[in-house]
Amino acid sequence: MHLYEVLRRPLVTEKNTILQELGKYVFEVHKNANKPMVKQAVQLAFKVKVEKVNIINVHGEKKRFGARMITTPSWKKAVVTLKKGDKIQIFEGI
Amino acid sequence: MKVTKEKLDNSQVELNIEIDNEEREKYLAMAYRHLVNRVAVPGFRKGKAPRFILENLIGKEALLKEAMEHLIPETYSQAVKEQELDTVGDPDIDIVTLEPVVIKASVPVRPAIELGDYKSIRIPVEPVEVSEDAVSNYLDNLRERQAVWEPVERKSQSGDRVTFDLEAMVEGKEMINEKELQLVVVEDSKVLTPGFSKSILDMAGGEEKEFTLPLPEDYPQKEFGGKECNFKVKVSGVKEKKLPELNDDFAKSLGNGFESLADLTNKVTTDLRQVMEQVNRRKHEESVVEAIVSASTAEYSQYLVEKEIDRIIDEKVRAGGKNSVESYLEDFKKSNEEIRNEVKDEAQKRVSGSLVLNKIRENENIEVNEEDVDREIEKLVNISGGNQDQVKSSLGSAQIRASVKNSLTLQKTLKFLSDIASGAEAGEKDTSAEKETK
Repeated sequence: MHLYEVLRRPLVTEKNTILQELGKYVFEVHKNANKPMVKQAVQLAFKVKVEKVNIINVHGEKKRFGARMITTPSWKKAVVTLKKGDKIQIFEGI
Repeated sequence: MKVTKEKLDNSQVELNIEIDNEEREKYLAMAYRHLVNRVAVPGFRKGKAPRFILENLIGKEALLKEAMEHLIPETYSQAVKEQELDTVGDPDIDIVTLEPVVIKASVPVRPAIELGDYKSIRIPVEPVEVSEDAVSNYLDNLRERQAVWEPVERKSQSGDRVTFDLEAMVEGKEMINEKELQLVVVEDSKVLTPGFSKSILDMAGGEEKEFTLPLPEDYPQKEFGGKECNFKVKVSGVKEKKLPELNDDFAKSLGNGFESLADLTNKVTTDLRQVMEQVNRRKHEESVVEAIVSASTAEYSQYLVEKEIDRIIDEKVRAGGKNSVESYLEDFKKSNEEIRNEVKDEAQKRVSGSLVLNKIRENENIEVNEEDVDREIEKLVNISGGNQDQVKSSLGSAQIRASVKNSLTLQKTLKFLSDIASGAEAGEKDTSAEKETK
């Protein structure tokens, strides 16, 4: 997996916007990515210093789709804490 | 906020309002608060999206547009207050730039009226004379209305009423077959077909006659139009119009408590005089107002004229018994433009007239008190045949009161002016009016 494939998209939600004030930015990342890869990818993409990365596996949900049950895909969420003062502009301009 | 004022023609004022960014920010914040509750941003509950997220989603322009909706009316009214403008009507607002916000508003202001010397206008009232001809004409009319048809034993003449049976055949087909028809025969009457009336002249009761005449092309029954028609007429009676003699008996027969012919003549004369006086009075008032208007300068905006045009057209439409302008226009085969142009002069006249009159009313402090209004309303309701309840409800209605009061004040002002112009004011009676005419 190339580093460029690690970050899939920034997640902009009410909760994540609050986290931004603490210098934490949330991304959806590649299913097979791990913390060091996310750290590298963020530092490369946004030219910032990453303090730490927390990763959460979001399990897919079972949903009814008409008569049959389907499972929405599982995905990986990464909460990236930046060095104090660093900012990622992309979250402010979707 | 910076406001510059510029006077335009037609008593319009153009305001140039510049709003600095700080003030604009205030309105933007307000707009955000309004919008955030309406817009659903994915990832956020309603009303919870922060401003920069919302701005990114809907664009800065949309936010500005929302802000303008509050900003424009508020800053406009503030500017009007600041500049102490006496506006009439709504402004035309143009947004010049958004950053910084500059708006241009042109608004009609209260017309500036320079009254001419309305007290020195002298127009004599034309004296009323009821000529004998007019009276006798009127009496003739009365006689005509009281006329009776008397059967006579002679041949029919022009002006007689003839009773007859009629059979009319066109190419072997029966068109009319009626008994006891009545017709006042006049030589050149066009009843049925030209010449028909003439044909039944000079016939006595019991006489029969058969004749053929062409029907007119535009005969109502299309199938018979333009064809020869065979008429069979059987006259059963001839009646002559008898006018009552002009004497005391005639006067008495009219009722209304007339005792003699002299009584009636007197009454007719005074009635006619009154009518003519009224007409004269109105004419006089009109010419006085016209004179005053031409002596004064009234500068008013096109806006007022346009509104008056609307009103005139509305009146016309209603007078024509139509319920929409379109159907009225269709009837007269005119476009909206044409009709507006037609009534423009009238509208201008009305506007300047009413403005000048209003000004004079203000100058002279002409007012109508409430009791007069009460009396007038009662009178009006009585004329229209209403009962006491209606009087009461009308008295209570503010709208009716206002309109009655308006018209009374107008009447009073007109009377005031017309009195001055006819020289009826104390101290300069008649003589001055006569001098003016010489």
